[in-house]
Amino acid sequence: MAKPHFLISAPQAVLSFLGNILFFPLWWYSLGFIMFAGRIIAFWRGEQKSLGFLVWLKNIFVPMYGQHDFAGRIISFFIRLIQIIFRGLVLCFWIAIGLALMAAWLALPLALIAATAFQLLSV
Amino acid sequence: MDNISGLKIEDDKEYGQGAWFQGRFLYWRKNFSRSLIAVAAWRRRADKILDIIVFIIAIIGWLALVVWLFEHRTILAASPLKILLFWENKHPLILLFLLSLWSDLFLLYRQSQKESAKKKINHRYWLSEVKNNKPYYNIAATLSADMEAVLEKSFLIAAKLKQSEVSVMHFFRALLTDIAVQNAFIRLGIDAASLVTKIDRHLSGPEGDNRRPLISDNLVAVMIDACADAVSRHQDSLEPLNALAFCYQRNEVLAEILYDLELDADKIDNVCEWFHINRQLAASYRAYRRLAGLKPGSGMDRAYTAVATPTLDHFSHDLTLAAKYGRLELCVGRKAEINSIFEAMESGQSGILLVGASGTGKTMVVNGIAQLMVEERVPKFLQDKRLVEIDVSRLVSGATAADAEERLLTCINETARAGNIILHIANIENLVGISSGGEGSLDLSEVLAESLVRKTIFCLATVNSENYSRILEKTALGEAMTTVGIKEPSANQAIQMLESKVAWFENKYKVFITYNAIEQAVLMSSRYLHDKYLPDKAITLLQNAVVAAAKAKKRDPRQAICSKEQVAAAISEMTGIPAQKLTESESQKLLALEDGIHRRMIGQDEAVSAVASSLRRARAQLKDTKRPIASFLFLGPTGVGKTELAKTVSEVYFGDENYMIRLDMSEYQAADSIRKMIGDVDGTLGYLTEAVRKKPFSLILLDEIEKAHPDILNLFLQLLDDGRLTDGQGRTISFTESIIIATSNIGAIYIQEQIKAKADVNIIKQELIDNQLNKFMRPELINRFDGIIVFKPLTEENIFQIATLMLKGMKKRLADKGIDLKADREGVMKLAKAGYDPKFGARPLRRLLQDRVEDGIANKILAGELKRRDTVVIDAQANIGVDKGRAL
Repeated sequence: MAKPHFLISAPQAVLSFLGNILFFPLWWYSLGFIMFAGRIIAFWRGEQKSLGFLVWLKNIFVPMYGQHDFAGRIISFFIRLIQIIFRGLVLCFWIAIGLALMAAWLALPLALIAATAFQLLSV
Repeated sequence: MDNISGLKIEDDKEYGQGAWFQGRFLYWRKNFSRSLIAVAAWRRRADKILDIIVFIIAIIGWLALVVWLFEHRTILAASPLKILLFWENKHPLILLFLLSLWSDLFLLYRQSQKESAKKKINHRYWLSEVKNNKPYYNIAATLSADMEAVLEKSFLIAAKLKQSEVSVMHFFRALLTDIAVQNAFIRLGIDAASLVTKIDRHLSGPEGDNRRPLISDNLVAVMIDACADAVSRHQDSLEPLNALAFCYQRNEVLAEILYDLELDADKIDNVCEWFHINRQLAASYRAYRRLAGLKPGSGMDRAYTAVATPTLDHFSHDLTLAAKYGRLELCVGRKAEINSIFEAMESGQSGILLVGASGTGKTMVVNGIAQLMVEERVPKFLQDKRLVEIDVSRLVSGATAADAEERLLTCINETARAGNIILHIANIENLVGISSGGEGSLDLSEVLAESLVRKTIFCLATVNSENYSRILEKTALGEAMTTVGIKEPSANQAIQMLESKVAWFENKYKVFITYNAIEQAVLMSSRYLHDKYLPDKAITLLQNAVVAAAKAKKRDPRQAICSKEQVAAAISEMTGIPAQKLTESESQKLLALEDGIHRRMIGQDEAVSAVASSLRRARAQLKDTKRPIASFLFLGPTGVGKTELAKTVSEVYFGDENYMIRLDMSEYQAADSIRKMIGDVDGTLGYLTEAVRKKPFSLILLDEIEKAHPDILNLFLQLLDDGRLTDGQGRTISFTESIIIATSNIGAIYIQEQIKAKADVNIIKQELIDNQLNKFMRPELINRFDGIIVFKPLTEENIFQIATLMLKGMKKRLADKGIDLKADREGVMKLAKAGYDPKFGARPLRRLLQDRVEDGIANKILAGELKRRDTVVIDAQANIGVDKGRAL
């Protein structure tokens, strides 16, 4: 086992401490963004599941409430169509919000730089 | 987890000591030195300081914004939209705020780093196939921050003592500084300070020449076991608690120290398990709530293909809905049973019957399934379905049998048409025997059986084992369903089930529950509550104890602890067994047995010491807990103290003479008297079985056993051997907490003659067994007794002592009336002589005392000659006189 030495380990610790701070901007646009996007996608998934959008889509031709007669099928189809459109709209709304949040994540540092620069230009 | 056992440690040429676990070779590689530890500590401190600085900057920034808003409140009030464009205002405060926003982002970054730093064990790696080239796994990379701290501390302890190795003992000493471990010891009721002192005495070992101790092989083995434990529990990292359970296995001295504190392997394992259970419960509860939010809250499936079920809805309640809103208790430790139910369903069975004794947790299993259905962690055909419980009492209430049948049919039809419903019927035996009348008409159970056979519905039902074999097994319904047995959990499993409930109890009653209380609840309930089952009886017992502790807390807030004494008190309330007898250690009781007996029993020294040593022997033989505590056959003439000794044993051992069940065997001379003793199928309760069922903790006295019918003697053959009897109703009655004493007069005259001839008692006993007893009892029955004890005829000296004892009793009774009693020694001697009859022992003496002393006193009281403060005097002639007390 190599003998760990203070003169080696101390500078290593200082470097890793500084490196950790300097990694921050890189993290924001790589791992940080992936993590944030992952959370938003999980949120979309949950919304989709709770709205049952795909289940409604898959069952568009299946009569509701077990009404297998002709009238039942026709009524069912249109009701389902309305439901799908409505649920689809809700889902679209959440997707738009999520996308906006992701864009905000990416734009935030740049916007901060811009705003700071604007402030500094002629105070 | 039962029996945590260490992995097999091997030596690898390249990686050194390690062990194979799930196809990977676990090894340990980590350097320790004082300087490394110091550097790591600096690094941690620097990180902390950085976090604090950044946090302060963030706060200052937000304050700056607030100040700016306050300064510009009039302008902003005029046009509030300007707030959104605050950054367009050039102002030092705004600049400060904008700059501070960086620190907010930076805090996000640090937080995420901390989160990912907690995840040291990559479970994807452990779940994936082993890649041939990289099966080596350094466990030092899995340590949590707490664990690193413990290891660093143990290194420093060893280094300070200039040891050559960091041993398991050093590590354990450092473990005791960890909060989670400290909590575990608090739960165990261990005084941490005394443990630390004991450990400190054993810390030093061979001193090393350098000041860099190496991690000992045994400690590496502990870390390897702990790592395997953490991996199999799907933990994020290796925590100090993982190691706690393995320390005593790798260090004998430590195991001895812990053993001295009454901490055995089971206790430590169960307490560690408790903390793991709590953590898992919290984690799975969070996940559960998240998933439950996604389950539809109406009776429909997600695709709305199901059909409305109004009738069914009226006669039932929806368990999946109850589970979704968190109204069902969490189910713990029933994975195996639930899986076998799923397997049976998947193999095409439409009716599953859960059979188990009441209290074993059948309802909990059904609840567990409802919860899994909410999480959708079930086989495909159960997904997006509802578990609906039919309320049988509601189904049949206020209805004729025909109505009930109609209702049930409608429910079944609706279920079949809906297609998204699994029926649950609790206590399904209630459906049997409700029929619409006329001969040949179906009863409710047959209606259900028919649809199960046609596989139009799924049904999950419960029945207790007794009703299953009595009512259901032979019916069409019983045959249409597949049974899944729900067994009574083992003691350790039951302890862990209780542990999962503790947080709830503690929260509700605001009482701290120790581990010993939980353990005692399981042990005592299985020992003393024979006709109920685990875990239910232990839960009930613990709850009673907790409620009592909560009441005590109201009186005295310092008593907010539920310990094993409370559990003992609770069980004594439930069973009538004196509480102090439950906690007092049996060995104490046994060691002082002779003294205890002689306090009320005169003479018969040999018999007393034979009984006492026999009781000690019977109890020290730890192996056989399936027999009565002890069993004796008392032989001897009448009036020598056989029954008295039995009563005394009952008083000394069980705490009261009333713990004696006395059977006069002369009442059981006929063959059919067996029914009187154990009851019969018609519902007659047996005298013996019922008494023992109610009071398992008792002494059974079989007077004049030789007079019983041989069939009854055969019954005792089984009782003495197995410690149980089956009564007429088919219940098993346990006699394992009873002492059995049979008495007999066989050979009384022979004993008197031989004692007179000064023969040895052992020879008399052998002669009795060989030539006299065997005429009445089978040799195997004689052999079953733990001891055969011969009582000698009483001597005159004995009779004198007995007379003194009896007069003492009389003095006590008179004292209640304020009257004293004094007896001359000569007089007592005279009485004893008059009452002595070698043939009848002490019985004539009792009669004599009644006639001469008690009657005399009674007459004097009635005549008004004897009043309060007077003294009765028995003079040297054994005459009764009165000493007048002083007048008031």
